[in-house]
Amino acid sequence: MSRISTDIKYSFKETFRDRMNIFWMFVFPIVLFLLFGYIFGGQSGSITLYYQDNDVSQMSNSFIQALNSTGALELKDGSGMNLEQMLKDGKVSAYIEIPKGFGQDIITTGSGGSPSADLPVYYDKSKPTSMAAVSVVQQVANGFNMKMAGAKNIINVNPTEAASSGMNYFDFLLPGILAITIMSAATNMAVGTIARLRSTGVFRKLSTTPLSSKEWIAARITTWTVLVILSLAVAVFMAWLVFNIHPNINLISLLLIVLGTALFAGFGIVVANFVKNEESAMNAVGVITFPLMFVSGTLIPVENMPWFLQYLAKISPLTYLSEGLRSSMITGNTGDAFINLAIVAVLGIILFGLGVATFSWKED
Amino acid sequence: MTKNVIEVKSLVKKYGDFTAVDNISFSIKKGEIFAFLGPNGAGKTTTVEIMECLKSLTAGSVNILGYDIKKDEMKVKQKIGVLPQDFNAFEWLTVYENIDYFAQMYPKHLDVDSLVEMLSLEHKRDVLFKDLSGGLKQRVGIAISLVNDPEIVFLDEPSTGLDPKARRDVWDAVKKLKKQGKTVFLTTHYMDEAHYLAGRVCVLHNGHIIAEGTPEDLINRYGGGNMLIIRECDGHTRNELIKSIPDCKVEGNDILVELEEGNGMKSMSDAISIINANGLTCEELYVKKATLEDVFLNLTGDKLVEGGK
Repeated sequence: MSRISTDIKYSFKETFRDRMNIFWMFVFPIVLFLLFGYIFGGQSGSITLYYQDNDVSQMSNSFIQALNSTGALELKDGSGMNLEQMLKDGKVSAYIEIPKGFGQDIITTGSGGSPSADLPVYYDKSKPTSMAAVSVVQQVANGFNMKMAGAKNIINVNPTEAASSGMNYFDFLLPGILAITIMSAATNMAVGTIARLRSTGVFRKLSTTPLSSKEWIAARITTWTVLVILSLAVAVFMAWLVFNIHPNINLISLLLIVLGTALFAGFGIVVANFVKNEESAMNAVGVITFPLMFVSGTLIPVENMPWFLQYLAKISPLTYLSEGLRSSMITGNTGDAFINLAIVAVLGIILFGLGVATFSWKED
Repeated sequence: MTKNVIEVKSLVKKYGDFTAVDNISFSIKKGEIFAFLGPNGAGKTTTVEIMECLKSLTAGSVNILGYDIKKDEMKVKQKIGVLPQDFNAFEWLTVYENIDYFAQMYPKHLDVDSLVEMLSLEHKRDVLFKDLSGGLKQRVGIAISLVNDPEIVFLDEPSTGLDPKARRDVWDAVKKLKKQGKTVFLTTHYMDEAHYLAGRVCVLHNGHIIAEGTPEDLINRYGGGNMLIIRECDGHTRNELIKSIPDCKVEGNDILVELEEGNGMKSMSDAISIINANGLTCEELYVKKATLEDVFLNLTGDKLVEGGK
């Protein structure tokens, strides 16, 4: 036990003496947060409108066609999706629900009967693009009214401010940046430490002492986890101070952080075990983690990415860590958070287990 | 009779088809300073790293302080101290902290500051390891190898890459270990280091032990004897010398005479008489003793080349 605690004590000392570590752990996540926040935060790209066509009539179809032909919107078929929940989770900024009997209502209203055909639009007012989507829907409806009934109100657009996610881009981004920080800190610490101590010969020396490689891993994963938590704490504190973001710190988010660290540290250990050269190992890790930063729903929602990148997002462990953190810390969608936690836990146990099983400092 | 603290029998280490250590056997007594001498790639480090429980062996047996290293690795680790080749400790820890780190790895360990003092590191006690010179790093390494008060200390090329002053300091540290009664196992490719430090030397070449004994013993047996060298003689004296000393060799204006055992004195006095009779027309005259370098050269036809691995 004292061997493990000695290693923990001195690995902390070493970490905090090297100013580069301080930069990467405490300054870099904040820089990343501000940088992406201001780059992507202002202009959210195209306006996406989800629709659910419960009528499936000629009329509903031509209304959707009309929306599409404006070119102002990116229309996405949301049939079968829980759009209400997705809006709450900040994944959808606005959607329309074409009610059953929509086409029939238009025909009856057009021929003099009432009432008018209702068209509910749900939107998240914390999203800057949602109001634009609502007004496009409004205009298309007006066009219909004009053409078919001489400005008589056939289609009655009914904008409803849905239970808002209350989420602006910085809220969305924070858990993404935290996930990126976990990934890069854990993999780099694992690969960097193992590759360096092996190449400088410290492992050779350690392996002649009673300290076992398992004890060493146990000590280091403790150090790394605490360092990751400290690093995230600083980033969250900054986000609170500057952007007034109040993420929920709960058991699920803490478990996600711990298991996410184990997952990516395990990945780093595995790479370091197979790529013995220090520089190659660092490069191998970089080549894999760098693209993951961008395709894992960390900086922009997975739903807004092209389809082929969405497939990549599905196999990226970072996606589940990032979504899990967002659900548990920002949107409060516990069910979603729990599913992501389960995935991160399983991957974490597998990768960390593999890392420990293949790790040895005894030479051939 | 002192007991053997290390017994190596028929040790073999193979890497694929390559045999790095080929069936070697030797034993070391308590309190000895024993050196493995050989060029890079001779198998010195491989053998030592097997004894240090760092590498596995292919065949044979290694017994250290009565423990089989295959069965009782942990017991062996508790009782030995190791300075590995190209030693490095934790860069961002101080000298004191590094020694303390390794001390805490053992259930029983010496006082850290007494080790700092023993290796004369007091003035560097709180300096980061990464800021130390090569010689100081090696001394820290020796201090660390002593944290568990080991009975046997393995020093793998302790002075490679150091300047002459730093080498001297390392040698002094090794001599101190001898005084404390520790058994020291040393590997080196410097013959002067082996000669100065070791009581017994094993010459390794291509994974084989090709000679073993005290340095003096090896030099007498394989060194090719002493050599009388007379430099820069004028033509007449030179011819006189060649005439009266039949076995001599001529190199430019120099005369080289191999001094055979028993007959050496006669050759020298003959040479001196001739030089004297010809009006002291030679620049200098000296006897060069054979070294372990000559031993190695004569045994293998190879030189103990420095550098490269």
